[in-house]
Amino acid sequence: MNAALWRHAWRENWPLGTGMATLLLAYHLLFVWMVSLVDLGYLGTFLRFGLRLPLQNLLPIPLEQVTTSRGMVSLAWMDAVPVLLFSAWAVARGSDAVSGPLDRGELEWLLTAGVSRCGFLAAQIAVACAWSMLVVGAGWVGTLLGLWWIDLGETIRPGTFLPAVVNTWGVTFFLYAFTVLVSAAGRYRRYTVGVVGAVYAVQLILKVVARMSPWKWLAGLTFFGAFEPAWLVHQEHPWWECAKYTLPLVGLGAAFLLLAFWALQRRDVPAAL
Amino acid sequence: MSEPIACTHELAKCYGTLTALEDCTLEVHPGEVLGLLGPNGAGKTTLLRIWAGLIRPSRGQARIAGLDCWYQAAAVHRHLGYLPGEVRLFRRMSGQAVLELLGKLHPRGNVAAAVELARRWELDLSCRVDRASSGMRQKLALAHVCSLNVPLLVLDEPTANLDPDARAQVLHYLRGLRSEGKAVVFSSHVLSEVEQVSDRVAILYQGRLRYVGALEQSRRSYRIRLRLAAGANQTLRPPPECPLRRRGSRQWELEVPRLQPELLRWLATLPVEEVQVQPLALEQLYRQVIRQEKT
Repeated sequence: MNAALWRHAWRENWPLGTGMATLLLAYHLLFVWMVSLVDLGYLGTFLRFGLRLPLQNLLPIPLEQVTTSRGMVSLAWMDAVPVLLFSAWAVARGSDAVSGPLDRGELEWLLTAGVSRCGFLAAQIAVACAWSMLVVGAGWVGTLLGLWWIDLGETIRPGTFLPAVVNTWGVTFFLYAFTVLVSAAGRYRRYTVGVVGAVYAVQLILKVVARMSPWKWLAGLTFFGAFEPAWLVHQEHPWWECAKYTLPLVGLGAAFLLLAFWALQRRDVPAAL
Repeated sequence: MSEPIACTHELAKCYGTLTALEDCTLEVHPGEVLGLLGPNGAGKTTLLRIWAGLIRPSRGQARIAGLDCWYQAAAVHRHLGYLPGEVRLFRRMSGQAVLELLGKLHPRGNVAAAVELARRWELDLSCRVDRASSGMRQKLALAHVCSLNVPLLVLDEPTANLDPDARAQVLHYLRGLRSEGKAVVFSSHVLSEVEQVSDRVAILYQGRLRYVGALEQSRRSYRIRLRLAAGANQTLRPPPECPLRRRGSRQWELEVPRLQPELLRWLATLPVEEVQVQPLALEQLYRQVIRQEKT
């Protein structure tokens, strides 16, 4: 494949990738600092008596683990801000795989410059996957720096959080791959974002309902059911559990990408409007 | 005759119940300029995009240099430069960066030649694409496509958005490509420029190829419009076979099969304020084909 194509794909990725990685790093670092400011004893009492049972179920780990420094730090991986950041990154980059350049009239230039459709999509996906690792990895670096600089009163090995990083990357990859598939079949980027956004919202609601209601089986209908980075940190065999949760996501994501190749290979490239 | 560089055989493209192109069989030979004409929605862009490998034919075949345009699209582009009808380049890049990216991507790209062409067409390459006018974007795209060392250029309305000077420069350049043995297929709605540049024309109407043929010298005719000077009040007696029609108080029009010497001598005797001479062969042909198809 042409080096110019790789450079182009890299250039398309780096502004958002750098921004997201910086934000995630800073957030995880700040989170460790915030944990150092919390009185865990008071927090435990508040959670135990202040939250009714259905709300307690929303916590990704048991209450007794929340009230430890390690438990609190692990919660950062399921916090709304990082989840929003990596989701936004996956949808932004995924929607820019095909329907984005098609919508902007750039795709026809690339495809008539001797770049094969498979080659074009492969370069996009390879660069985006590398960036997804950097973005998610930046969060772990933030935790690492936080644990190194800030005293939490107990020794926590940063390596404990690596299964959480892998699981988070798995979800990011899955969401990215699903968005690429929708993008490869669509014509307008805004429609891609709309479709993926709607699916995302439904999946998130299913996860919350599955947690709070007796219908735990609902978790099997949402990809968020396999997103348990905080819980993985506290398992006896975290890597085994991590593989059980993450591999299906990666496998499904890979299947979506294959479908995206197939869709792009067969579709017409209409003129940009 | 040489092997065709591009051809289609019973080519068709349907979008559901809409037939954009039907039963189109056409050949383009090296060193030939083919003008593609037709009203809006006739199927010109569809045909050009099928050749560019962007659209999959519903039936039939499109080939360039013997390669199938759909199944061997990447290999086809070694032989093809394509200019889309609506030029929407990489908007966050400068003109220079666009020429470098596309020139390096294309297997027959030549960045230096593209930059040279852009300079010749007075383009500011430091300007970002999203700040450039549509005419500047068109010139930038043309500079890339024309710089490619390929035997065939497929251009969808190449002179759209260009000012008269730039239009003349581009047409002159396209005429020059013929002498290099390159083939050019281009669509346009401006009949006079198709007539200026093309060796052959193809006329599409409602997705079907209605006419393909050379612009024969014998069919050339001209429309002459005259505006006489104020106060000129003479009776006009044109040479025979030159029917004269009045278009206004001082304006006259005549259509002649060719510019005969006696006609020019007669024109020289008139107190004219303005004369316009317009070639008519293609216009007549186009109108005739379209009228026939409508009826």
